[in-house]
Amino acid sequence: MRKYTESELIDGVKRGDDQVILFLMKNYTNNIKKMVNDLNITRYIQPEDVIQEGMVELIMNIRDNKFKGTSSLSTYYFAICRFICLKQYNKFKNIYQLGDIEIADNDFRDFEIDGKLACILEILKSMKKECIEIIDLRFGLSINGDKVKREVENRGFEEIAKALNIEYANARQRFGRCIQALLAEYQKRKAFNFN
Amino acid sequence: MKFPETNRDIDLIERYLDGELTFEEQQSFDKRMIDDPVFKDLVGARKESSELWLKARTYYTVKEEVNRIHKMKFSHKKNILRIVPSYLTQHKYYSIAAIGILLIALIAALLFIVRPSQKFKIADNDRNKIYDVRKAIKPAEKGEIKIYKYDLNNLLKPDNGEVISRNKVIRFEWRCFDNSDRYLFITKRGEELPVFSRLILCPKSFMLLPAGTLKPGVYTWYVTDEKFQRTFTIK
Repeated sequence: MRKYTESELIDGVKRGDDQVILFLMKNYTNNIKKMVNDLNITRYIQPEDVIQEGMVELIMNIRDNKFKGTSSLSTYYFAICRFICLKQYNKFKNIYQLGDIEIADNDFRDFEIDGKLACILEILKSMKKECIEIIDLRFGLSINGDKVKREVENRGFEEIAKALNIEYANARQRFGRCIQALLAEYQKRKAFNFN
Repeated sequence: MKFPETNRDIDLIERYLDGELTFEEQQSFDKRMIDDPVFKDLVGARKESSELWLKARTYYTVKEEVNRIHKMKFSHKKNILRIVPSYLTQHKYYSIAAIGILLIALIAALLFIVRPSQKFKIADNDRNKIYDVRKAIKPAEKGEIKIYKYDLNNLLKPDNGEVISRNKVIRFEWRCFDNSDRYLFITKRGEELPVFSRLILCPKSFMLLPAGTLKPGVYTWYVTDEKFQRTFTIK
């Protein structure tokens, strides 16, 4: 397998180059398995889950330019996975120290999927496809393969109606119904989790 | 927490976000933002949800991408190892340990089977009368039999150098020390392996060998300890 420099890796991740991501998975994951096993936390989280979750966070952070390059990419990935372990452990144990793991630096807290996002992720999983589609359109998202980007802040309902090939009034009504369900569920979960 | 019960507030917020409110509606909207905390929360949640939705969609898209590449990572291994059951590939260390134990057991079994059979090949003549010497030797190897001194004084009949007719019954006699079991062995001169062996239970201290069992020749016999043997001839 071809070797990459750090900048090639970062560029590859930003481009969504499968070979680069495959390289990261093959070369950066052995330490993680060892760490999870050494910490003896496999009853809370499996090494494979940490690896995948960590990889998702790594890719998201690189694409959002949150990775500043103050450490090597492998160290950064290791720290992300370490933090995921700690977070998962805390979820079950409600304590904040785990062996020699300390709470990660502020730099690493950026990638934390906080409680609010976790709520939305849960809701998204249970939403109907037609709702997801219209909310994506209204929030101005364009999803092209593996890439999600925001094109406009709030897409107009005429454009949405045209894209979905429905009436303008129907588009407004459908979005209203979907966003209402989303917000109701979000506020319910937020109240449960944070109050 | 009170949730919006109608679509009206949602529609108002969407029109506000699109900048479509009239002057009066905008004033009313601003007033409600001050006076109505539930409405204010709803507007806040709507604005917040847009950013969170983008993050959530990005998260799931990247997750799908990682899952797809993860499958790609292991796809070639699956092709190579498809004949190996999945639990063996998943629990590598248990599999190695199990294979190791199996190998040790196999080697032990081979040693146990091969060793006696090489040492004690049963003579091909009078095969049907010959006691399986492997059975005879087995208890001794386990240490179940104590070794007693069966020297020449205790081997009584046939006497050393005695000549016996082939047509006569041969009486073997020895002294019985205690109630432990004995093995009588008869070996033809020039042959390493016994042509006859039998387990004799004490207090019985003799055995009758039917006439014609042994072919003419010179034989030795002993009980348990092959160091002390007596010789006899069949004519």
